[in-house]
Amino acid sequence: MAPKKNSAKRPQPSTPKPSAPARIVKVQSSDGHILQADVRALLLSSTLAATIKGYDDENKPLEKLEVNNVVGFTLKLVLEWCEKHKEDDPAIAQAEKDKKNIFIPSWDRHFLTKLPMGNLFDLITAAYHLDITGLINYGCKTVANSAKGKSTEEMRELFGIPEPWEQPSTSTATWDD
Amino acid sequence: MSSIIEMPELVLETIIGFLNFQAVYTLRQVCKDFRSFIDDLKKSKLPDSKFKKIHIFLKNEETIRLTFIWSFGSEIEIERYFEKEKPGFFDLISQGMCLKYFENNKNCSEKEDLEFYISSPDFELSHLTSTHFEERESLSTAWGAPFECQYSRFWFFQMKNSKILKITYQCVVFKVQIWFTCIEIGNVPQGAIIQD
Repeated sequence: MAPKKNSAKRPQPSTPKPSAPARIVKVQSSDGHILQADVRALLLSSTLAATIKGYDDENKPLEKLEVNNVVGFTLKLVLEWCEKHKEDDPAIAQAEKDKKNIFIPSWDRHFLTKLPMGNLFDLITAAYHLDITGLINYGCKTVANSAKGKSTEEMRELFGIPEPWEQPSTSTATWDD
Repeated sequence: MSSIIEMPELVLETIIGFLNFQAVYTLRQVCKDFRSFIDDLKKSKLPDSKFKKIHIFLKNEETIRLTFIWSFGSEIEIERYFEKEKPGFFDLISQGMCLKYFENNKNCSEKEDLEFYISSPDFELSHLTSTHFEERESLSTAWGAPFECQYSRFWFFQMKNSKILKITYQCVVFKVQIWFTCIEIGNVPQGAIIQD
């Protein structure tokens, strides 16, 4: 007896939504790097979504989007995150916006925690400029998680803040100065 | 590469919103920029302290000890040295974090916060003892005329959660004790003024 094909009965981890063919556009960073992204991924950014809508409303061909406040390295990270989440329901991120506790999915946890803290700050700042709620939420939660349970000295080290005696006197006096 | 302190305010607010009280308290010690930022935040943006009592002890002219006590018995004790300038009582109360936490944030959902196990975030009492208290007259200047009864002075303040913050001042032998109590409006003595 021939072995059965197992494709029909294999459980799927999630049911992907039927979606239109990918519409790829070029995205240019502030330092001139040109990347490519699926428009559905870019729609996670309210800022870019508004720009894309503007092109579509006027029936203008969208060849290249310019992101003037994000450098190439960070923009690549942003696009990688958006690509992973392009099928997400935007209502989920909005619902989590003001929650004190949110769950970071394992892919995002791995993606965000592997970044050096400075790159993570850049990524969150980029998400803020591009208005990507989900990425802001997960990024901020990741920073908060890394700060919990730390001493003052450990936090200074984590965030790259100099010791009080090394800090400029105008902005860094500590509570016990 | 960005520094955390250069991040947009909304981002910092979001990060702080995910922290617990102890982490915010520690972050406030990291540098003056954080301290100013946290002090300027609305109370609703800060995490619920969830402690039941605060004991503030001005140990001597150079040292202050803060003890935060949670209802399940856990506590943290923080001692600070003020080598250049002794903190005035008002600096401590008005500029420090303590007052912010007298009114616990009722909007915070305790059930969602797995960090602490306390069911009620209401603080019951805060107690300040000072062996070097030189600001007795300043109390009346800042808080108005006290309600005097026997050997104690009282001030009453309306809190946002419809309760009353009662401040009791007693001079006992060589030290001054100041108690902060959260009471119901019905327990304010007749003739006492409730201030906003």
